[in-house]
Formats: sequence, structure tokens, C-alpha cells
Amino acid sequence: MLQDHQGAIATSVAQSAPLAEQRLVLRILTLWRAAHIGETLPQPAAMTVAATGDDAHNVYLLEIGAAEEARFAYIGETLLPRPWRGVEASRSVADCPRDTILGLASTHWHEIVERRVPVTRGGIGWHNAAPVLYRAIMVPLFDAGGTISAIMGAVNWRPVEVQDGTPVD
Amino acid sequence: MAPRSTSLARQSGVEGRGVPMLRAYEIQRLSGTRWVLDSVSDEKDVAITVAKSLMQSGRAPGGVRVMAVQTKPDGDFSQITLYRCMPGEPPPAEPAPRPKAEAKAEPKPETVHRDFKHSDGPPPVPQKPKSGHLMLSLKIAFGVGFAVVAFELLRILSR
Repeated sequence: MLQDHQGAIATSVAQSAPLAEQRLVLRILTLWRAAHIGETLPQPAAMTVAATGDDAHNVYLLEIGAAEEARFAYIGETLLPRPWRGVEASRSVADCPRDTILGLASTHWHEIVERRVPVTRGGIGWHNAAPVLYRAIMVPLFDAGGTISAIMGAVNWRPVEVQDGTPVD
Repeated sequence: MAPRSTSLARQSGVEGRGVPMLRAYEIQRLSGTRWVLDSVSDEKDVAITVAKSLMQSGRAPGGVRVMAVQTKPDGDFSQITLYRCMPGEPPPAEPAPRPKAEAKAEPKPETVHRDFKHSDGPPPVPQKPKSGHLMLSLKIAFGVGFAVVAFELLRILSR
């Protein structure tokens, strides 16, 4: 599934049309709203990674298993933690290094399952050994029975400076 | 001092998987007569931006509002409305600074909440009683008289 998504992205990124909204979280939210078909909650087929266009590099997709486990079905190129580069195996959120932007953004996936609505979060964290200011969103995707079967997440960030001598604790 | 990574991680909620938000901003949309949760944010500005974008979208609801929800450690919570937009209602205006003239014309309310630090004016200076001045004059006169008598006495004795 990971490879299928990446193949779809390769075509989609080239053909993607620019969206008017400037913020990544709002673009993803707009896609999620558009994936509502009538009263039907957004399903994975209606909101694919490919549909995110250029943002696919900053997007990840989680598959929610029955046993309270979330595994990455897709990880955008810029989000892939260094230790995971070149590894094709599906990865669990629990295994994701927490000092990465992917770990930061995906760690709250339980909250989406509980609330059943999109959640945005932001703050300060670490990515590739550098402090960053990030903003992330996760949106739930439902199966035909109304159970959350997947979560799409997106995150962007920028480095922040930590001044020497600034007390942290 | 703890390493920076630990502190920053704690700040951002990395430690403790799925740390719930103590203060969340809920974007709610009006569906019929019910307010339905639309999405959640941990930042007020983002929540209001999301609410505005929802109203401007092609599937605009009957209304939208942003609630700040504060969850206490005991599980109890309180909420207040931060933003509200209904079709047909004028958009919520930014609070403008009150003109000075208008503020002057406004009479002060009779009942105001006071504490020890605030009052409407300087505290009244306690008036000294008038008898105080008389006593002071008497003391001075007595002192002068005593000095004169003592001087005369010394002069007599020195002869």
C-alpha cells in the first residue's frame, strides 16, 4: 500500500493545481470537507494522498487496526525519519522516533479516534536534532460502518533558534 | 538543568503519549438547531481562522462558533464562546478603543467593586482639631514666660 500511494503521488504532484489557501492545515481541512459525500463521512477512497497534490511530501497516512494500533501506510518524503529511510516495511506509530516531526505530529492519533473530528496541534519540538516550531493536523477517515479506519496527517515546520544561556527549566 | 530536548519535548507534549489538551478550542457548526463539533485546535487564532474558512466554504453551515474549553484535572470543564458567526448577522466587530469624550460623559456607576488598592480619589486628609492650635500657643507662651522669669531670677541672684 505504501508503494501504491507513492506511485500515485509521483503523478499527482506533477499535475497538482495550486490551492488558494496558504496554510497547510486549512488546505487539508478543505480537502477533508470536500470528501464528505452527502451525509457520508469522508472515506479513504474519497481523500487520498494523491489528492493533496504538492502537500503530499508533508503528509502521512495511518491505518488504524482493531487492536488499538496505528501503522504508517504512507509517509511523505520530507517527514521520513532518517533511520527509516530506504526501509519499505510498514511502521508502527509506537516505533516512530519521538524526536522527529513525524513522531511529534502522529503521537496524538488516539485523540482523533476519540473525538472523531479533525484536530490541529502545534508547538515546539525537535526534528533531525534541531528545534522546530510546527503545526500539524490529523483528519479521520471512516469505513462504510462509520468506524475510523485511517487517519491522514499533515505537518509543516520551521527551525527556531535556541539562544545560548537561555534557561530551559 | 535538564537537556533541552527533554524540556522541549515536555513542552510540546511528546512525552506521555496522547496527552490531552487542557485548553482546547472547539469549532462548532450549527446543524439544524444543534451545535455540532466540527474540529478542534490547540490555538485560538487557528480555531477562529478555521471557523471563518468554514463559513466561507461551499458547504457553509447555519452558523459557526469557537468555544474555549478548559478541562480541569478532576475532569470537570468550563467553556466560553470566543467567536460566533451566523449568516445574516453582522460579522463580529473588533473591539474599538472608546473615545475619551464619551468616557467622560459616562456617569460613574453608583456601585463599584472595590478592593484595598483602588479608590475613586485620594483619601480624605484628617482635619486637625482647632483646639490643637490653642494648646500650641499656650505652650509657646508658657515657655517664653518661664524663660523670662528664669532670666530675671538669675539676674537677681547674680547681684
